[in-house]
Amino acid sequence: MSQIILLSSDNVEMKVDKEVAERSILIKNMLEDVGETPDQAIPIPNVNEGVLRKVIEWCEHHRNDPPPPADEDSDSRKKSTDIEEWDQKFMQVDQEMLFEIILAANYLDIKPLLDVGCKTVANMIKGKSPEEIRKTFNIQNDFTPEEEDQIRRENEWAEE
Amino acid sequence: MLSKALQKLQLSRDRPKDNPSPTIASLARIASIESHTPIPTQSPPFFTLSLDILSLIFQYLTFRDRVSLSLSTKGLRHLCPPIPPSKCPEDISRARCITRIHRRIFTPVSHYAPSNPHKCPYCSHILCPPTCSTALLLDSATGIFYPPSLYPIHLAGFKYSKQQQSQTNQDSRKNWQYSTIWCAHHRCPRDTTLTQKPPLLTSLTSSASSSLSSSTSQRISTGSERFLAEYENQDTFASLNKKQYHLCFSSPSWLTGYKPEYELPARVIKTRRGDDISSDLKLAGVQRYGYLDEIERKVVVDAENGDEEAGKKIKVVKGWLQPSYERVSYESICLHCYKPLGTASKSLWALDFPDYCDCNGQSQDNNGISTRDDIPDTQDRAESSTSSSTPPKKRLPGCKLCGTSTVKFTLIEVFDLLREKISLTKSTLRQKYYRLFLATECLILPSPPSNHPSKIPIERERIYPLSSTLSNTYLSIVRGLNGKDYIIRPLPLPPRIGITDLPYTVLRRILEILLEEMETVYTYYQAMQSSYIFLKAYYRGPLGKGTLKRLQERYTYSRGVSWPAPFPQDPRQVG
Repeated sequence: MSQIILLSSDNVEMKVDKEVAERSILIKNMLEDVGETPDQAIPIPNVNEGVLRKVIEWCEHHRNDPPPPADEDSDSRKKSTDIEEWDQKFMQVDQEMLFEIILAANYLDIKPLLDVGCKTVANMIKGKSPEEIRKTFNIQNDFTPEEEDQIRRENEWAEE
Repeated sequence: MLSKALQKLQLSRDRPKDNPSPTIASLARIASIESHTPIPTQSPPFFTLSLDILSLIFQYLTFRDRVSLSLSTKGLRHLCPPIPPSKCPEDISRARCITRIHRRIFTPVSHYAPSNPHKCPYCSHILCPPTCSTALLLDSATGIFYPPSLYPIHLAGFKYSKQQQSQTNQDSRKNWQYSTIWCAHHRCPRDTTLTQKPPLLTSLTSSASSSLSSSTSQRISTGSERFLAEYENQDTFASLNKKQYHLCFSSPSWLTGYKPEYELPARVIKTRRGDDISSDLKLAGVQRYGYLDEIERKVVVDAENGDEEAGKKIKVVKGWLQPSYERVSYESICLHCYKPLGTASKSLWALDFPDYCDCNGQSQDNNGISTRDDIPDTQDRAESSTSSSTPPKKRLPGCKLCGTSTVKFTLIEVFDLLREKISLTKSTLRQKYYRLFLATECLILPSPPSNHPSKIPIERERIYPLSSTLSNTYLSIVRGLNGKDYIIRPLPLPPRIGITDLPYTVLRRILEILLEEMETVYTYYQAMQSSYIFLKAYYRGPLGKGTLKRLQERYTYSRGVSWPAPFPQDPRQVG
């Protein structure tokens, strides 16, 4: 099986099966443009070594997955936050790495991985109060008590 | 070719730098500049995500979660902007739902608190307002203690306030009335019914009743008699909440601890440890069974014969620890109308709760237009108006904006002893348990993946309290753990290694031993029903989901609905 070399932003080369790398639509399109397996390393300038290794790990595990359905906006894809057990474990990383993976998946155009990342973040938000969300994501509360009171009253005009 | 492709890649890499996708941090910065509020020097990692990625995340969130997120920082306010006053029904409905969600999210404001503090009608203690952080409101219609997050305190009123009694004609307030508030600062004592002198209502002799009727009617207006009267009355919570009661009693009971009891007939107290006291308890009017541990305590009593020199004497009072059981049932409630959605599943571990509600315009006129004006879901309305010629669909979720909540109802014994007048000169103690419910808001979340190879999560989802700390506080309040004497002694911590950690071969051997003992055949049967672990042992190892589902249907797991289930085969003949 032919292999290609990926070059991370911190100049680390990684050999990957072409089939695995082609889980990335960006790389797949590029390889199709080239028409042959390149012998030069393909730079992935927005992704560092650690993140790229994680992304490749995910691609290797899902190398035989069927392509995502053509109807990308189907409700089933968007509404369910179910995550496979392996993917759940895969996403058990610190927040910085989680967001880096999401950004890398977005950049490399790996939609299923992007979906898993977004679902993971959505699950971190679900059912939480604003204060709990702030704690989860280390967000500073920039609302003053007066502003909160204003928000509380802003839709009360509709009360029966 | 390759260089062109690399150039293309380089271009796509550079694009974010040249024209970066806006992020929440940038929006937050703009909002902060506008309001002259200082911003954190370093953005949280969450804000490094671009808006297009965030919009993907938002698609997985419910409306409630989006409102909650919009209130976490100014940069996310655009997720749920204010709705300007309008006469458009859709805007009105949406604004109402957002207000309801805001009420749940924000700390209850002080204007929900009465200007004059109310007194508990059962013990005359001054009540905290509903805005107390640990307040539990006893709904007078159902006998359920609700936390403020599950109770429309903006619509509710205190049943015994003068203002409330004068407003009983108003429907909204009539529907939501609370009888008392228990919190960390007030909880009627477990033996509230004992603190009042006899006679009580239910056991007056005919001769006594005529002479005492006038004083009784006066006493009903205050104190524990009021509680008993409400509890026994067919029109109040004890009888109105039959549905929840039934649901609870079709579920298994859980041992939650042991209660010390001292003031029972001597014949019961003298029962020694380990003796089966079922018959004694039955004679004493106690509907209990089991093996009880004898205990004793020292109490200080006044010396007899008015001998002041003798002072106080210490007396040893004997009693026993009796097990305290609780039952639970689950139900989904609509967070728009705060009413239950339907009957929960009959299967103990199934999570197929209904997610539809009748609160949002079930009734429709001939034109397909709802006659109710509080339909918050425009999509539902559009669908219902366009499909007037087709038969009605199964109800869609009633209020998609407010959402639903899974609520656990725990049946807890809140009052115990009862002094009963049997004649004009004699009274006796009767053990009677007054059970009320505690509503706890829960979440259904995916099971955490297990690290142990044999502990594969059987259910994909599990029910967890929304806040375990607050849930435990509420349980302690209603159980009466803060009392000095009638404390439920909690169960010891579970062992580090439990029966479920034993190998399948050992568990199978235990099943075989149980089966060999013909006298304990029901023990064998109950063991098979008690845990999946025995079923797995029965089949010599982990089971597939399909097999487990079939077994669950077969055994129904202590719900008692299909009792007796087919008797399982001898494990030695299987596998």
